[in-house]
Amino acid sequence: MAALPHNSYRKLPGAGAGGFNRYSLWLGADHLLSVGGSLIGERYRRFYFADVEAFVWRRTKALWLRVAFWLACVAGFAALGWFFDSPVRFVWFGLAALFVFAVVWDFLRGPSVACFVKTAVQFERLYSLNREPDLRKLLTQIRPHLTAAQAAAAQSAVG
Amino acid sequence: MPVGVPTVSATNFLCPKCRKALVPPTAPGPGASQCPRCSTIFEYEVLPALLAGPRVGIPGEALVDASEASCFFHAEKRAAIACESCGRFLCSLCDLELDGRHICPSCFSSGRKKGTLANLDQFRISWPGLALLSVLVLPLGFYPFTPIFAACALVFLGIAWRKPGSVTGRRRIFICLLATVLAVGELIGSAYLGRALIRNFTSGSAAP
Repeated sequence: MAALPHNSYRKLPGAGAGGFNRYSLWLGADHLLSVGGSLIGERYRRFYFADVEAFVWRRTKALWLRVAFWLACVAGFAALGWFFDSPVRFVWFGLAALFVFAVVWDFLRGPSVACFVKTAVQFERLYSLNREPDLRKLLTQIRPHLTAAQAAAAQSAVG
Repeated sequence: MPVGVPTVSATNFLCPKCRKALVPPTAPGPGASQCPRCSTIFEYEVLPALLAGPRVGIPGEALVDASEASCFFHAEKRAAIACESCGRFLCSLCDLELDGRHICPSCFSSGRKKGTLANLDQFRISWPGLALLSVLVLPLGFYPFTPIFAACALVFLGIAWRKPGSVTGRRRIFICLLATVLAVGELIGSAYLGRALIRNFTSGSAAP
């Protein structure tokens, strides 16, 4: 575990988007930095390692909703390709194949989740973490930092 | 596994779907549970801080001898450290550690006002983003003002050059380049169009 110098950050797994905003999570020297940004500016939330008490997550239906939409697109374009009897049909079949690729890609990225970080006074959603594999990767990366920062807390909990 | 006592801080252990307050886990580590209200199955990873209880501030030590240095803000407390910004003596209660530096409450509040403490930044304007917005989106609605928007974009890019970018250290180089190219292109295009219009107008008025 290499400690980062103050005011320098390393990008952590996961990226989310909602509306005009994009979300990401960064690893700082003694805290996690949640960044929510649009074209106009960036908002920051800091979660200090010593204060983080738990990560809580649940699976969501977002993946299935998205897959249903992709499949509807596949069906629509395939039907158009089937209906037209001209070289244009290959364009429709090509678009259908593109959406099949989207379905496969979505499945490969893993189940969708909603992840929350809990501190003594917060229970905040981390919008950048919306895939379970990303979440597991993140926990693996930050666990040493959290453990080191909370070593004293762990001793008092045992005692 | 060690068994901890749920503390006040554990009261906001909520269901990630319906936000019902739940009984917090009693041991650190990963686990899974089900909300009794909405039946949502969720997973968690509990850290020792949950079981350790709230952190308590260290009160300053009282002066034993009159010859001892005292805190600038609490004359009856012993000085433990000097502010790294202004040099005032501070007791343990007044010592604020931020970015690896020890500072006093007044330097903290002035640093927050002036924006000199990077770790307190909660929002930063993205000047390259604003520049791109000026040259890409605004002309779509108000095209006669395109040269003004392009000039504004160049000003924003100048500010972006001087001011620090994102807290994370990311530089939006691609957006800067794109905004610069578009702004310069729009200015040249506007000048060319303006010149053509003037020529057309003068040649039209000169004709009998």
